[in-house]
Amino acid sequence: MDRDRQILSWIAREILPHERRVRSRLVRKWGDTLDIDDAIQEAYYRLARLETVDHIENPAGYFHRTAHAVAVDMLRRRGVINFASMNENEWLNVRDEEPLADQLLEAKQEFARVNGLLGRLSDTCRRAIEMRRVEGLSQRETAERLGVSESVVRNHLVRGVQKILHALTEADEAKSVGEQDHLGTKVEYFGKRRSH
Amino acid sequence: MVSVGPTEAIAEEAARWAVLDAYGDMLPEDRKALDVWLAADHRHQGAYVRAQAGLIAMEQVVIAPRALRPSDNDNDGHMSAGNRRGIAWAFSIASALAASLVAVMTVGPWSAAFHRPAQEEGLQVTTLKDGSVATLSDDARLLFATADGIRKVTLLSGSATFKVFKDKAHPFVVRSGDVYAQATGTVYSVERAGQVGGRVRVTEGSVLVWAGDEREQAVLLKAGGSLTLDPGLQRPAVANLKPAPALPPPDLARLSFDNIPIKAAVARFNRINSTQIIIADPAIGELRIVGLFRADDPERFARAVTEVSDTKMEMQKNSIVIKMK
Repeated sequence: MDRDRQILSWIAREILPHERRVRSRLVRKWGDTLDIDDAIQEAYYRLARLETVDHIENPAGYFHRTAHAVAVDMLRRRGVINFASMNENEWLNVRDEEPLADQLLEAKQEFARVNGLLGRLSDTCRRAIEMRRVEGLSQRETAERLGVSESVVRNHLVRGVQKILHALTEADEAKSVGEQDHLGTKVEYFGKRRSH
Repeated sequence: MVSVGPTEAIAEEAARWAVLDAYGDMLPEDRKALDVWLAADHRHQGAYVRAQAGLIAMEQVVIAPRALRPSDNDNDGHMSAGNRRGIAWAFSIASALAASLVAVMTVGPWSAAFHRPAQEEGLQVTTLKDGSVATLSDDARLLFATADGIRKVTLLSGSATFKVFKDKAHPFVVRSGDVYAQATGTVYSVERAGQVGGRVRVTEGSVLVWAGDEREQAVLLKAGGSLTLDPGLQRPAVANLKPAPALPPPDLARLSFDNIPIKAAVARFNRINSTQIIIADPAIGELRIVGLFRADDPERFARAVTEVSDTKMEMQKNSIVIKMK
């Protein structure tokens, strides 16, 4: 159970914030041929089966690799073989070598997005979490204090989880594409702009 | 592959189970139903894990602000690998403000001119996204991008000194016109010279400098050294012999193969690398290959070939032999 909790926390902290990027890369690469949601869920399944995550120095890269391996397997099962394994190299080249600083920045931007979402969680949802996790109340006590049924409390929590996951993964899809220039490269400009 | 159920429905079901498990009172029959549901499909298990992680994330978003202190908020976009693992969500949320400041830098290509107050007269100090620090002359303009594992700076005008964040795996290459200077962690300055040239001065460490696509003839500059190259003045005649279109410097170049015979791909690698790839069995050469590869890494390419053709490779002194298993 401890191991599960440790891995789940690791996924929450190190993996979820990168899902949006992994998704958009899968879409860009295999959008037409692959069910992206299936691939993502399968990738989480594989991550959850890890015995330990201590050896993973670069979680974002690991997630990208796992998702890619899933995609390759899915395509392979359908008989699209060589094409996929070759592109693996391309994938690894691109992702694994991206500077850590970039990945951290990416993750931090995701955190910022989630932080902005806090206000959109229902009050019931927030209070329920505080009562259970901070004050240590039981499910029944929490529901009584909030004046609703236990299942209503759970519904609020379910909606909350969905909002969080949605914010991390799907919202703002257009922006993630817009961040890239036509070469697929993020470019920063420094120095004084010349106005023409 | 056929989906057995709408994915959103799976995600919602997963969220319900995750909440029931963490916040409800799971009865034995609930537990059994959950097990059955999980066993039915890998995707259910994946979605369940994802929902559990989402729940943890949500709890941290809700609970963490209590623990925040303003002094936590001093992170400005760059962190060392050392403190990376210890980052908790609470901390990250604390620095969300800082993160949004940093985000301005990355918003759009070409759109966000990023200014810091001048530190000294005529000089502007700025931190690049990889953690390197650039000191820009008043007339300096530069672009920074990372792609293909390379940190690329293009100096458009003026001069700049770079204190390169040490990261061996990601070469830091400054381009001034047609002159390139590469380091992995050092201090050096680059100044535009002529139309397409550059002057490189090294303060610490060493830097590899070359012009155009003549990386094999690069000069290694050590601390205290300086070099001015202006290819515009003396474009060598050999340029005519180069295959067109000319490749960018090997370290930046990639070879793209779109379903061509392996023997043709190998020929292209062999043309530009001293390490030659030898195909021991002609049948291997007839197989076709798709992919994008670093032009200067024949070994990685060879490894890919062995994967795709189910063969093996043997490293020799100046060659790589690919043969049947």
